[in-house]
Amino acid sequence: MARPCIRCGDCQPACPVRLDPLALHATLRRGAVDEALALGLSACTGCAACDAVCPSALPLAAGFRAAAAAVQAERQRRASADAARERYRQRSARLAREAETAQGVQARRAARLGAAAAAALAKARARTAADPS
Amino acid sequence: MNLPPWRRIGGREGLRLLALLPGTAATVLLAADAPWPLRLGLALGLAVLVEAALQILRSRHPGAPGRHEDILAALPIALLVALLLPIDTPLWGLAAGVCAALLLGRHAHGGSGQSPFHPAALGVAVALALAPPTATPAAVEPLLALAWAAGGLVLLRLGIVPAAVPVAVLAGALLPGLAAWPGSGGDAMALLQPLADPTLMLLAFFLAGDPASGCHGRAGRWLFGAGVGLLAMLLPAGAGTPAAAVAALLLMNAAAPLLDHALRRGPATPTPPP
Repeated sequence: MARPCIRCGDCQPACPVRLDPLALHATLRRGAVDEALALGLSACTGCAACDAVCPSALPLAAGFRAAAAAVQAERQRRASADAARERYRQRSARLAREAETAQGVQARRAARLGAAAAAALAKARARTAADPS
Repeated sequence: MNLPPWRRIGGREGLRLLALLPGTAATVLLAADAPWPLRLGLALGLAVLVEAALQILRSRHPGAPGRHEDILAALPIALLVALLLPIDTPLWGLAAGVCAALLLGRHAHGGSGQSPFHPAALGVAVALALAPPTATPAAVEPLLALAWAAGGLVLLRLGIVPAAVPVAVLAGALLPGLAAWPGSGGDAMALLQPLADPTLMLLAFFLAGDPASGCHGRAGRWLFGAGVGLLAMLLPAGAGTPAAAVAALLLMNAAAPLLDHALRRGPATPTPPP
């Protein structure tokens, strides 16, 4: 059975990249991931030198790695969500643009047709007036 | 786990107890007519009983791992309470101090290393509040101070006590003397007087030196120690009295997380921005 951290600080001099495993462990237990990142969570190499000296035999490195991986996964999830949202926005804009363009074409065609029909009518009337037979 | 025995939890506590032995022996021998053996025996016996009872109350079953280690951990705490309390403190005061140390300073926070306050300091504070000392402080015994320092240096050498803290406590205790140095006519003996104070030595190595209730950053440890030493000399309870010593420690214990937070530097390796 693992014991809780007794805050002896033995892990601090053990870290080769000079992180503070004691503080990292405490902040992650509080769920303060941002604080852990500020303490250099991403710099943890996962070498487990802290585990080796922990009298409570805590799986420190595994916890740090899992937290760093969770942060990474969350960043990726957020990035892909951002990308999806942007894709949707651009698609909506394109569809709106296309709809607008299609309306314009129809209106112009209708207008053109209308003008041609009126001209033809006028021409026929003129012809009827000039030649009543 | 291939830790050396004194780095394991039980060994750590056993070593703390062993390191207290030279000073305890000196205390008993230097005051042969005082009832020290009775008081120390009472404190240790009560510690075993109270610790075992508290563990049962916290419903840790008898075979749970770490129980013997926890009982071992209670012993140096009880011994420190008995040693720090003035000899004229009534036995009920001593008993109250030991109980308060283990209940309020240890189990109320979840056991070893979880309390923000040093358990023994808390116990002594409670005992002093319940049974205020009446006699004048004990005479300064340089031999006793030496005996405490001997045990403390073993802890320091084996890395159980972070070296910065006791050094900073003693340096902090010398500061008021240094500030008064020009006016005192340059009396070196008076300047170094605090170093011959057994209570201060006990405070430096065994109370402030406990890493769990102190600061954890490098700069924080120096400031924490210096604060303890300085306050122990300056508090109105009187330089070198147990009351001033434990009050200084408890105050700095309370301030330790703030000190650590304020003095924490960024990580050694820059992290990529999120």
